[in-house]
Amino acid sequence: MIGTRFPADEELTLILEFVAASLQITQTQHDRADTAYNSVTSWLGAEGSPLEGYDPLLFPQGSLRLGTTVKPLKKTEFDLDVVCLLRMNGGATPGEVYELVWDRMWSHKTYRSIMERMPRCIRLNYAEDSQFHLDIVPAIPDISKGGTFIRIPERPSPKLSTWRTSNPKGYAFWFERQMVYLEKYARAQVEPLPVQDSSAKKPALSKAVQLIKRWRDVWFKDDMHLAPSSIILTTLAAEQYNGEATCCDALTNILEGMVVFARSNRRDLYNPANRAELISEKWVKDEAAYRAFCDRIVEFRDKWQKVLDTARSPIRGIGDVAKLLYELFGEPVVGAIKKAEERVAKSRDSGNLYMERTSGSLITSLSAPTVSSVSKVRPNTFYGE
Amino acid sequence: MANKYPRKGILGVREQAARMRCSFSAFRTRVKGAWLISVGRVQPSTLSAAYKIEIRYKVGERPEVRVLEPRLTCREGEDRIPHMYDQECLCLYFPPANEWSGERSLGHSILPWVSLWLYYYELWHATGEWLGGGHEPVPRKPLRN
Repeated sequence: MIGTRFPADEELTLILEFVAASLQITQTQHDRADTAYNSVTSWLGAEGSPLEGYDPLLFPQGSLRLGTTVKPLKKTEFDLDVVCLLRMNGGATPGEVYELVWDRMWSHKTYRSIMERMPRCIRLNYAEDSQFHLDIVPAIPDISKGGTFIRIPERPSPKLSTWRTSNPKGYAFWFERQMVYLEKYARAQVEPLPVQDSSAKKPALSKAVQLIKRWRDVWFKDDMHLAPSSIILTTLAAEQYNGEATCCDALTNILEGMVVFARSNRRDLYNPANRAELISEKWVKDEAAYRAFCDRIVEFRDKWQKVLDTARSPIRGIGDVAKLLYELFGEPVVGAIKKAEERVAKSRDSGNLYMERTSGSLITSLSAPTVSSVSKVRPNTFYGE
Repeated sequence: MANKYPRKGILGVREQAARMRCSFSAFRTRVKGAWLISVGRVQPSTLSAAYKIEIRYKVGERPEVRVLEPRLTCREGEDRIPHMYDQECLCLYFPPANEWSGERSLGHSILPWVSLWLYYYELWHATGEWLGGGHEPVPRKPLRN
């Protein structure tokens, strides 16, 4: 979106970036997840393992792969998804594939104690202090579709099982193309988790997606059954994204696009990496969920516009902006504002804080041309009576 | 004996006003009797409001700084704004610490503190905490005649 640059948007962007950073999985958690799924890979592919011949390959999918993880609102644990691909040429039933992975994991004493059966995956519940659980999704290549397509056993009950086609890698490639994100993806037996991006380097689209997912968690917390899924929000966001450089501009543009989508009355949204897969099945089946999305996305857009207006207004302050942001994203806003203040505190402590004389604005870094138009903020102690 | 470097002394209101007009031309500064009165705008950060503030100063007294508009408000659930004299003037420095004296130019010392105060005032609204440090105010005892 091309628009006038408002000075306030820069500071707003900084706060939003801190909000996004506080929502994502920490480096420590990321490293732990990395170690955890490397161990699973070794165990599954070890010499003598019944899976050895299938050359098991584990790779992250979903938000972990896209860099759009968002700390859940109520639980403290992240859901991390890892695909376990067995190089099989078909012939096996979905139930057999699931059980093959299940049995091998079960033969490991440690895994046995933390394993849990889920309809589409095997969940590993790590100790609470890890703050994540790992969902291992067994899969085989989808020969009929080829490329990066895979088939996943769906197991709603021990007796029932069907195949579901998926293309998590194709989706990730699509998402990355959308954000013009050039990254060499190493082909290794065990593909490392993408290096955790520091907030500053992280692309604007990923941050915008994190903020939109967080808004979803906050605004649907009392009726989560109506909430749009992460893949719907991520897909709509990436489709609307137009190369904006900051998450603030990206969010503005994406929300406009989402409102247009909501007004188009379209309920069918397909996986861009698997055109046969309807990702908005819920909207087709559940009118209330579709309506809730349409209504609340308009509200989100309106509230966001209010955030921008307030930020740019000369009669409204940071407190007013914070209040509106809090309504949208909740608790992390307070921490983000404190984090943004640290720049000022640091400059003040080191005697490098200045005030621009015309506007009266505080300046934390001096460039040569501004030196003559600023006054130093001398050491002081606020007092009170 | 002529002193090549005259001793720095207390600046009179006319001298203060001249310095103020020179460095802060956007402020309207005038002298009324013994008083210097200067009004102008301060916007601590781009996200902040642009506050119209007034400085009133008389030699030998503490500079009084008031916010004219937008009006300062108390935070929901609290009964006072921190670091103010009588909820009217800003408490910018701790007098016993000699952080300010009449030898200093108002514009270069007091004004940056006003900007800093307003910044922390807004953050107080945003976070519920006064992040700018300082001395905790002591509740004032009622005055007796």
